[in-house]
Amino acid sequence: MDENTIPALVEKLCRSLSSGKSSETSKEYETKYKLALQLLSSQHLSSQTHETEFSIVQSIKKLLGTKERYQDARKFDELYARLTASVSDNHQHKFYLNINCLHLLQSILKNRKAVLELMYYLALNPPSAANEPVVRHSFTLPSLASFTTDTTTMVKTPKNTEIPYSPLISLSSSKKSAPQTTLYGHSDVSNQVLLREILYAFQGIQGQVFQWDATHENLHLKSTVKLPKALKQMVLSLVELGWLFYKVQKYCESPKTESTCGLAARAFAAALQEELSEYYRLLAVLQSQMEVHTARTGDSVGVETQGLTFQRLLVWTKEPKARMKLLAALVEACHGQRGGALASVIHSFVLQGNATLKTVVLKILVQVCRPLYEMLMLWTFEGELRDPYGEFFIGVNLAVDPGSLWNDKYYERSIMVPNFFTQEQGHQVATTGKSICFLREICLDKSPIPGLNQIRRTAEERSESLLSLDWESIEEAYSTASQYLLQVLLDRYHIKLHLCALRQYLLLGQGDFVNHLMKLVEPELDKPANTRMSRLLASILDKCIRCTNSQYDDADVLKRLDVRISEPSQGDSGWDVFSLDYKVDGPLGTILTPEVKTRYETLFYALWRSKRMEWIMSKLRHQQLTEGRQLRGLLEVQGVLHQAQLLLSEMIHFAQEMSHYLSFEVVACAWEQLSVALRNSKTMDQLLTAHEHFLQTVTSRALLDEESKDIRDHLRGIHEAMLQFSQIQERLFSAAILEVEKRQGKSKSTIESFLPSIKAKLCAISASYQNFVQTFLFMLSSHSDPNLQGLGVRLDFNECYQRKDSRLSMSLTFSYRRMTTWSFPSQQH
Amino acid sequence: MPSEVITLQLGQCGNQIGFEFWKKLCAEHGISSEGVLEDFATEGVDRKDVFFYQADDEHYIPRAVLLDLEPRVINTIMNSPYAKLYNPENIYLSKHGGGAGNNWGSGYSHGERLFDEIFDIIDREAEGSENLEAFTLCHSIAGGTGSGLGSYMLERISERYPKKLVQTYSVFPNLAESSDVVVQPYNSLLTLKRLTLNADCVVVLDNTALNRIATDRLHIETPSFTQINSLVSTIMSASTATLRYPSYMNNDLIGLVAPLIPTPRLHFLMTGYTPLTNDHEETSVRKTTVLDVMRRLLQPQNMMVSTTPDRNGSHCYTSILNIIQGEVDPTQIHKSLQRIRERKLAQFIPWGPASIQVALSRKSPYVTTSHRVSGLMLANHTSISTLFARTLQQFDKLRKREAFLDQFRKEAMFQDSLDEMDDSRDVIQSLVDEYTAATKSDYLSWGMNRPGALAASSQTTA
Repeated sequence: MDENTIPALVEKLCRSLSSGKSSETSKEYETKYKLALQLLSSQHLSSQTHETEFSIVQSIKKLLGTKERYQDARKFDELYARLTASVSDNHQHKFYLNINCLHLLQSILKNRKAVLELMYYLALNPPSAANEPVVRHSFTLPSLASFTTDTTTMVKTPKNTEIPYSPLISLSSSKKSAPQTTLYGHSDVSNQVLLREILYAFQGIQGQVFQWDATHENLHLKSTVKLPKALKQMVLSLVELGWLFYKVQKYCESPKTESTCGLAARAFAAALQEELSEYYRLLAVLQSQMEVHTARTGDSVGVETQGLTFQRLLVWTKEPKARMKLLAALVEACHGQRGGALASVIHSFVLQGNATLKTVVLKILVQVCRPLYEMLMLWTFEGELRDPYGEFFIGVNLAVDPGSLWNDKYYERSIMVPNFFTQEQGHQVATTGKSICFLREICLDKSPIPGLNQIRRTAEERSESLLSLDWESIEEAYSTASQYLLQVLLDRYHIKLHLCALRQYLLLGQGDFVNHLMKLVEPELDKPANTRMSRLLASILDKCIRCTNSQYDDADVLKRLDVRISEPSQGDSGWDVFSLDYKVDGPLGTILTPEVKTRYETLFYALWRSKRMEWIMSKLRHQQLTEGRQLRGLLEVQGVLHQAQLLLSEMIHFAQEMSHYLSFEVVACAWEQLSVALRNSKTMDQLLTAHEHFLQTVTSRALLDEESKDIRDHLRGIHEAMLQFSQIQERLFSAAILEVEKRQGKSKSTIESFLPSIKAKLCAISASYQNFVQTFLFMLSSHSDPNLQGLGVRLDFNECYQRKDSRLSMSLTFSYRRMTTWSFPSQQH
Repeated sequence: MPSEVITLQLGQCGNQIGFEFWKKLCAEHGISSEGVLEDFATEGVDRKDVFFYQADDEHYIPRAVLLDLEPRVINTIMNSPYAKLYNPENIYLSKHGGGAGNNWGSGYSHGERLFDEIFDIIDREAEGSENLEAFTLCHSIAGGTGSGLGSYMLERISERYPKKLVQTYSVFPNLAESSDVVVQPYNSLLTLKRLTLNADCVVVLDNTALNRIATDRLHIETPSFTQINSLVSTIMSASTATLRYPSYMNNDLIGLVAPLIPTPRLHFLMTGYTPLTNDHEETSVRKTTVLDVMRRLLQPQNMMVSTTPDRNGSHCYTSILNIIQGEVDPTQIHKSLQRIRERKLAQFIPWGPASIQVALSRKSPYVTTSHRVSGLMLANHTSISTLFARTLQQFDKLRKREAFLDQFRKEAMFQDSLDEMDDSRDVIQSLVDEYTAATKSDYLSWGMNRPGALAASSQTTA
């Protein structure tokens, strides 16, 4: 046994006290040691006599005085003064003592009163007075409370004042001889041996009686040993403690490299170790009881007033066993767990009825959480992640490029979030540190966040451990850091300006710019796509900026605006690959991640396409108005012109309503919401959420989500029909104007050769267009999004299509809509 | 490269409403009466270059050509604080100064004589613009200069600039009171023919309705020209708001006009405006919603055209564009439209899709008004044909009696015959017919049944 354990020290103390004539020595030593143990295990040593340390000191001095040892009394005074002084410069001692000593010293210093009391009684009681009042409690077992290093609580706990057995009565008449017949019947082994074996077994050591079973990791009664059934049961029940101990000890001793287990698990092992050393102390006490017993029986006095019996053992180990059971259960549950998850598992043991056990768990938990607490504080207030073994609930993905720091670099390991945190709390901690990281790494702002240090001090003052974390401070830190970050983004990086720019350019809000761009790029984009276009288009973009109101836009915005030509595939025209681009970097790049930009690009394509249709339709109308004047004399074409005019009206109506819907109902309305949300945003997350919501709303309402795929195809069909119509009108006009010129020049008329085919084509395209529109409207009317139903209503505001198509009028009834909300009937073309 | 618009102001009326229009534009764009940009006008959200060009950094000049055959109105302008606003080279006053004597024929032949001088100015102005989109003509159809010279100009412009749009703000005479111009029906009809054939979009400003609005709504007992013209300039400025304050849509004239005009003939637009107030009157305290604005725009008493009450109830809207200026919540638009649809506040054509388009436009930050939201309606409504039918009636009355034709016979066009008058009558009759046809669901086949009725009649003068 370690020299510095309590029993060893007590023994040493007693030996030094009883130094004298050798014959008397052993006896005196024995008595003193016994007394010391009795005193130690006694519950209220001093409750009647000594209330304070001071009174004990006075008593000691008085005792010395009565024995006329004034010299010693003075020396005691001096020593006592040094002892009390040493508490204050306790820290210095740390440098001189090894860990065990330090621990012991601390417990002595902390329990100075108890130690002094022990001394006093040892001195007061003459060897023969062992059965005096103090001894009344001599067999009281170290209570659960005494497991704690704090013996003052032991003194105060009124717990074990009631002794289940009076030592004087119990087993007082049993006589021992081997082989013995006990209460329980015939036994091969003497009780003494058995008891010793049991004590060994308590430490997981096999011997004559018990055998180690490696497969079940348990101690078994050797098959050669015959015990009466009742005794056997009792013995086995006792030995269970050894098994529990073994389990706990095994966990503590199992080789632990930090990289596999982490700091929390090591702290857990250390806490268990502490518990185990208390257990060793119990064993020492039991051992000494045994020795007393053996000594007595050696004298063959035959009366067992003291010492160890099965029953006593059973009673004394009852509570330690409960503790050990708890520890074993903890060990079992915590197997393979680490970090925050380990804390969670342990915490789940806190919620139990037994207040004592609860304290034990809490004590362990506090220790386990200590490394996590350090990590949390460091992360929350400095944005530093010092977590070499991945135990914290925030992880870092170092492979992520700085652009996506906010979204991807740091992630929450949900399994590592201690279960005594709410999700919100975990999130707040995560975001606080992330905000600081963002400021440091992305905004390159190393200046301290105003107010955060003060909050940290408050937090550290108010929280002792992770369990009693001052959430108020954490919350304050969260809002301080996020608000500061948001402010930096708004003030220094002009987030709103850039979001606005995205809306103005990528979402086509800047009308004159968009119109002008359309006009300028049209001749280029009509050509087959190739990647070399981009330089020319970029110069067009510049020109376009210069001569529209965009020239007054922020220089930073214009610098970022660019064209993008995506990789063309076979047969693509310029329209298929062209989009506007908005270059972002630094903190902006974190909000407008490549993923977000792709979504903007998708939106651009849809809006741009709609705009282009509107543009083409306007051009066709322009042609009808202006060039149409020249055709007035050409009577033959008037009919087909009239048809073309009305079909175009229909198409213009569609294109206008669609553009209007996209720009007002979709973009403008969602933007309105976003603006409000931006104004009210307090944190970066709120800003991101608002923006995400904006994008989602716009995407789904613009028919760009998965649900609207079929409708989108129909919209494409409508657009195709428009483009085809555009070609037909071009042909009609060029042929008709040629005809006019021929007639003026009196050349031969060719009108009859082209007119029928154009008429036929016009009829065909008109029919196919109508069909597409009606199916489109039908699909909109049964769409789940009321906004898209609204679009259907707008496109057929005067119910013109509804009159033509019975499907539509039916689809507007409620019962029908209910029927078809979830499934589209298959579409016919 | 804006889509520039050149404004031609013809005759007394044209110059008067033009004058008010430029006054208004200057105020809205923060340009002083001398064409200098005011210090406060730094916002840069407007496009001044559609209607103005820049002489230098600070100095803006209207793209306007002022033409008249008599000096009175132009002299008034030249004596006003706005004298220095215009390019003096763009002001053309006939040297004879005799005017057209309220005779369409006289105005028209003046045009023929002055062709070179006038088109020198117009060509120069056109060359000065990068991307000229349209000509806007301001005139009245009843007098001599605006109608006769205007008609001549319309014909020549559509020949000379075949790819440019021609839009007019045409003031129709007040039919509620007897006019001192007895040949008004002749003038009107002859002008109407050119408006039908040579213009792409005519905004009808009906003096009858304007006077009614001034007396009934603004409580002015005898409205002055200035007061009426102020109403007109409000409409003109509001109808160009989307060109001058670009936002999502309708940022060029074709984009504005294309959805409003179903076929090239049916291009006569009515206007409505709300709130109608004068300087002495405060608007109601109640907060104006988008729905309020749109509903009021559909009320006949706010329309600037006095149509004959529709007995059969068959007349209908072909298209509507509401330009709403001021602080508007875009989320309210759809709701308002739905309410209007549910209550069937507007009746639309039966033969094709039609709806109310809404354009939101900024309001000038430099002009304070007592109302937060204002709305202009540009509408194509078939009942506008009743206005033409009335003109036809009056024409027929005079023509039957061969009254007051002597003055016309003096002019070259009518020396040999009055065919031009009858031809004009055919054009207008066919226009009225087409509007009537457009109220019926078989309008789609209308062109087939009457092949080139309109074209035939127009060929004689084409």
